[in-house]
Amino acid sequence: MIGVKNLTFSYGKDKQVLHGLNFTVNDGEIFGFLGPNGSGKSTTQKILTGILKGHGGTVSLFGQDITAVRTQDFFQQIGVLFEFPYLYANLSAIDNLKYFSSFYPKEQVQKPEELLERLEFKQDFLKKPVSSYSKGMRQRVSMARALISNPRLLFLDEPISGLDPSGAVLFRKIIQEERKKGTTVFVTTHNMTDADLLCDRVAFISNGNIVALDSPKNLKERNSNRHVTVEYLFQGKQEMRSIEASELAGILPFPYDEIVSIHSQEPTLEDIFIQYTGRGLD
Amino acid sequence: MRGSFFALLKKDFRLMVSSKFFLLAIGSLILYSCYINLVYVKVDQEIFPVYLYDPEQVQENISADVISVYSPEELQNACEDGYSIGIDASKGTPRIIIASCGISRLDEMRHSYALSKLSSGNSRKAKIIGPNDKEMKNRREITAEFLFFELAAVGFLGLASMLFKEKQMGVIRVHAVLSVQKGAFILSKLILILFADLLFAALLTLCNLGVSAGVEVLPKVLVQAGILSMIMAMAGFFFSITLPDFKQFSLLYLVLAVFITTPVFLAGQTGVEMSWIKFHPMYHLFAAMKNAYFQAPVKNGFYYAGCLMSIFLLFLLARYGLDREMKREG
Amino acid sequence: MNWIGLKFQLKTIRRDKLCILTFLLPIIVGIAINLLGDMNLTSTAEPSFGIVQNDLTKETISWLQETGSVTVYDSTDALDIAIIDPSTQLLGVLSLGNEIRVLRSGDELQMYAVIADTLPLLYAVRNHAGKYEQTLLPPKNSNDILKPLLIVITMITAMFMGCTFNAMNILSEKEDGIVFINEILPMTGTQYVKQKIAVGFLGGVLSTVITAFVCMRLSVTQILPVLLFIILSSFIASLIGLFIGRSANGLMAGIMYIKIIMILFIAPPILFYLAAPAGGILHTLSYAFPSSATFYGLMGILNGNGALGTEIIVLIAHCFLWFLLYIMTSKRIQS
Repeated sequence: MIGVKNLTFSYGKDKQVLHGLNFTVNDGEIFGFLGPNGSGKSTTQKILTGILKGHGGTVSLFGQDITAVRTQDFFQQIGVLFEFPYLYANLSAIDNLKYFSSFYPKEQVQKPEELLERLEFKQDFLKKPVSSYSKGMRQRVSMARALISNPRLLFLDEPISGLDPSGAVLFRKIIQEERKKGTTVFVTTHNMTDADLLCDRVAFISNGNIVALDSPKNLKERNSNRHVTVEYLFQGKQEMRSIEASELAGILPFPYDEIVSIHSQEPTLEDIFIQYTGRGLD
Repeated sequence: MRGSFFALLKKDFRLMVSSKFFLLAIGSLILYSCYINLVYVKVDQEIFPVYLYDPEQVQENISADVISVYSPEELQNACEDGYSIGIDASKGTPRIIIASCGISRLDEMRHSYALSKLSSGNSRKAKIIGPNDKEMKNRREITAEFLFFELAAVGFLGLASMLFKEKQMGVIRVHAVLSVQKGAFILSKLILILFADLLFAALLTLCNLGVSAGVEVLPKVLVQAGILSMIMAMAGFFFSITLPDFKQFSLLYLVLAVFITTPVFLAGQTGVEMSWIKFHPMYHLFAAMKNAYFQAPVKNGFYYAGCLMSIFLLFLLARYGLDREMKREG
Repeated sequence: MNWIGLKFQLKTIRRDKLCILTFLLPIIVGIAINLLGDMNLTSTAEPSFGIVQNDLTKETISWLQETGSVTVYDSTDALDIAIIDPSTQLLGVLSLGNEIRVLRSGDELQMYAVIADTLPLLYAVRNHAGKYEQTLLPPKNSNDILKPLLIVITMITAMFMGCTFNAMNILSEKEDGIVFINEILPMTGTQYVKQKIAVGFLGGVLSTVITAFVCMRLSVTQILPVLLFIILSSFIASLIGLFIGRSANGLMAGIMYIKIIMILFIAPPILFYLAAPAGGILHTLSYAFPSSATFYGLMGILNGNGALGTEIIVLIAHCFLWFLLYIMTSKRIQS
């Protein structure tokens, strides 16, 4: 679906932000793009969505070079959720969706009311102006806007931002459902849990370079020290010891009266990111 | 305490510089001065020209400023404009030809004037009792109007745009947790605006009235400019801190400009009589400014008491608005 | 044209208070001009005389009233103050035996100064009228020069206010971040320009047509030229709105630009119309402002002038030039 080879980009002469990125995103895949602020992830997304021009290297979408596909047909096939919920503040959710959907072929468009219901949008607010909505409600309308044209390729920038825990679960469910329909999803996020739960593969970008790219599972496995922490009771005292995971197969190499808990010491995606880049995500 | 006030002053001065407040004021000063000196001082209305067609030259007592024409058509064309007067003396009894201007009294005056041109008598000149000639009157009048407009409208907008920037940045709310008094926050802005307005008033007056006449009126003008500046700055502060966005402020500004300032100008500038205008507070400020320029008797104590009361009330309102803004969330 | 899109764009305009006020303002002013219809706005043009109570004879007073308005003051001091008042052109008239003497402030327009200096002579020859014949030609134009001027200023304001609708629309899109969504919508640059021009154009045309309906009394033959002026001017205004929307980086700057444009479009035509004689270089140069052509054209229509070819051609030329300028600058910005 997306093919990026040796992608470079500079703002002006001396400000190169992308230093030769290489990655592919497969059809029907949820691909996570993770990086700290200023790492170049927004620039990459802008190039992929056709907003930024003048890049180096090759970028292909739907099997064609982006410079050739950047047409109305191309924009009809993509959906973009921006980091901030951009909407007409003085129009209602329904009016916003009807307005934006008017640019797509009728047969491609979903019904705004049904879509908002799927996103568990409060029905009382359907016809009230967006200026009266909470951040979470605006995010739901924005998501609906991105989905309204049934896009083949969906770009999501911080999709869970501004949502309460139940909203986050709902959004993850909807993204999974979109993938099941065959939509390819390109997610840019700071949220490691989301990336871990949602993405088939993730790429870590730092200073305009991709420093790691694999599935969250593989990354964690590859970077795991394969140790577990065992908490146990011995002679009335609670103690803790770290052992190799393989040692769990046999008899534990220490005396104990009772095992309280066993924790795997598998690293989180954030740990791995810090390991690769030497800095955190924020 | 004094240190924090100077920090506020410094910050507000920088904000004013960055919002191009001074640049706009200098631009206005140049624009107004050019208009006054190149256009307005020359504004005049000449007396009705009188054209005479007298092929036989029978009229002997004709005034020297009567213009001779040499054909009836020329006479006809000359007085077609509804202002000029024609006298046809080609057929014995002179005929006064007047194309009506639509105002019967003015037509009558034109007719009388034509009669005087045919008469041999001399008129006793009118006694001049005023202190100004036409040019100086024009200079004082338009300078007063421009200063009023600048302080009432442009200064008001200048302060608001500065305050809205602070509001957008959210730094006003930061001041709620700093050891700065709310009054000081308002006063620092007020002092700077007042200082800038007084400087503007002085320069505009000296540039357009000349140094000697300018210096003569300056003390009274500065008092009125100070009053107007403080009232408008405080009103600008209150509205910009209370209204949620610049768009709504602009809306209010438009209404203020059209519906409040226009009648003041109409009443102050023309003879159109509006009995209710004395209830319009801005009219009194405008009249006081004009009086200051013409060195007319200063307004009575009620006027100054009203001004002081307004400044005090507006200060309280501004403080209340600031207090509300600081407590606001999001 | 995406009509559904346009419908919602107009809906956002309808909910914008500033746009609504912009739309209604010329209409309200138009109604006010109509209400002022009976008020004599020309009273300021006739001479005004001030006299002192019990000073002049009835005959003298009625003679003065034939040629100007007369105000009676209690004392000479009160009269002096009124004469010196800079906002009036009052002439003081006092008796002097069988004659009159006149007081003036010395700062009057030349017309009033000359009247003041000749008034005693006019009084002396007041009975000579019978010696001469008089022809009073009817007024060529309407007796009120101020009213058509106010009507045309209101119409110009309504037409060129059209730039507010699309400028505010574009600026609100910038503020709400819609500008980012526009980048990824299947909408071509041409579609975008069409939509924004339509917003400004429709707003301007509608507001002006209602204003014209409220304050202009047009004959059937005048309707078409007025409509043509409205259409062409509103088109130019909507192009200017596009420029403002593109150039301003925020609402504050945008509102400032709109105010500057309004001053630039309203003040010069009035000034040139009143000060520069038709056919002169200044008058010709004034066509550089599109509003000048509209102003002269509408004044011509109200004064019964049939020849409006120059104004229409100038407006069409402005339409092309502004449009070309927008396209060229857009391409440069894109590249």
